[in-house]
Amino acid sequence: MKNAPTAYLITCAVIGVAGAVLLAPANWLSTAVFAAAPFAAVAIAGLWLLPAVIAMRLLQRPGAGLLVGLISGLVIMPFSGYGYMSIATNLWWAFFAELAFLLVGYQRWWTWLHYAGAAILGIVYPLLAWVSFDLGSLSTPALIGFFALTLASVLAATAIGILIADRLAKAGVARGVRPKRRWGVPAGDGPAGQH
Amino acid sequence: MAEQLGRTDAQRRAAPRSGTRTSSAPRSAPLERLNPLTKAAGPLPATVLLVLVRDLATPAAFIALALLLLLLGARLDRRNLLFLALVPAIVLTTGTSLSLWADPARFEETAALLRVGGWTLHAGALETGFATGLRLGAITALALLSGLTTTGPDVARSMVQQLRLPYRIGYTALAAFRFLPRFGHELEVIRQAHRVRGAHAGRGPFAAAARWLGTIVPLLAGAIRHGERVAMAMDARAFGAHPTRTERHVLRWRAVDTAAVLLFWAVSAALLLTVPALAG
Repeated sequence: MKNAPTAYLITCAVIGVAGAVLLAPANWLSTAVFAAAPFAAVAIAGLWLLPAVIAMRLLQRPGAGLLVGLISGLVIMPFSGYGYMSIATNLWWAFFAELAFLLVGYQRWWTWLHYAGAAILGIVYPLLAWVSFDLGSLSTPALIGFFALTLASVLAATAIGILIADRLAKAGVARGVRPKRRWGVPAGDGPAGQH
Repeated sequence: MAEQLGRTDAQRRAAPRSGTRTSSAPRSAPLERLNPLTKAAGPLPATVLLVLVRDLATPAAFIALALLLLLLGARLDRRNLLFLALVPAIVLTTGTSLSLWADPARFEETAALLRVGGWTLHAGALETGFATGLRLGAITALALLSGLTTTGPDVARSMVQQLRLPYRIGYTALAAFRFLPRFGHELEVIRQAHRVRGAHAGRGPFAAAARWLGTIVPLLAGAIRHGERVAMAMDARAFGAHPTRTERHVLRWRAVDTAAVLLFWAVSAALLLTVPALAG
């Protein structure tokens, strides 16, 4: 991170701010929906993953997702009122956008790794939420709905994030920041002339 | 200059500037004078432990504590009062809906409070629902302690100055705050361009959604290009050339910050240990 180019850091900042703009209303929407129908609120939970997925797909660098999470957490603070908790929440969700790539040592950037990270989140989040929301007290259909909606939401957000990042890449954005390798091909294995 | 040192954003905003404020202008609130990290470190253990609490009295005690501290120590403008009113609203609505969604079979042995056709609201369901509602309300109230008295740039500064986050990352976050107004302007330009070309024309929710989706990629592309120019300007000024840098706003960790954290931990421990027994 110390030798990261300034352009990379600022690009993450821009994606983080865009994420915060997206999450500021989503934050209130999810609080309101949670109050009415707790398990339905997770339908938009994937939005918290979206900025980090865009960053990881577009920039393909270690830490891009977490940096975006940190910045969207900081920027959203005045709108959410949750203070440092906003930062913790955004970092926590962004971590899962990084997780699958962390596990392969940031050596491979296959598309399915994005979905793998999201799927892990889709399973881990309801289990952790179990304690804080006392999910054991819910009726079975509500419980199945909670799990299914979480998984569907994070997978859909990942698909949208990949789509947006690919269209940005196609538009030639952040060309100087992305490592010079083709999608999914590790550095060094590309055509001659690449470093 | 020396008196500027150690001030938080909120204090700087409250301070009179060029005579536009009279002497009756509000002084910075007590909680605003604390280091941003104090207001995160203090409530953190209680927030984590509250997740495991199951009774009604403990979260209620923490809500009372947090609201009391906010009423005494935060600025009570309209926005902050609105946020304070949010806490009871969360407790009531979440508690009610969770009692309704609870599995009735689990609470059949408790007293029936309400019967509508074949469906019964049991006392146990209501208690479990409100225990969760109060718990979430308490976690929200504790988060408001930092949320209503701290600004994002101050948190970024204290992460650099106290937590030793690399300053290049901290200053990236500070730059991010300056992108927000730029985003609004850019969005307006893109909307106008789309309107001129008649893109995603039409009425109704689907056309509105298509219009909204159509702005995401151009907005991000434009903003990233702007960001790259900003980065180039920063590089041209040798941003990050040295391992350390001077700070325009210095935030201090004072003895009062240590005292506040320790006091909050002690009160949290006392509440967690005694309240369930007293209510019990």
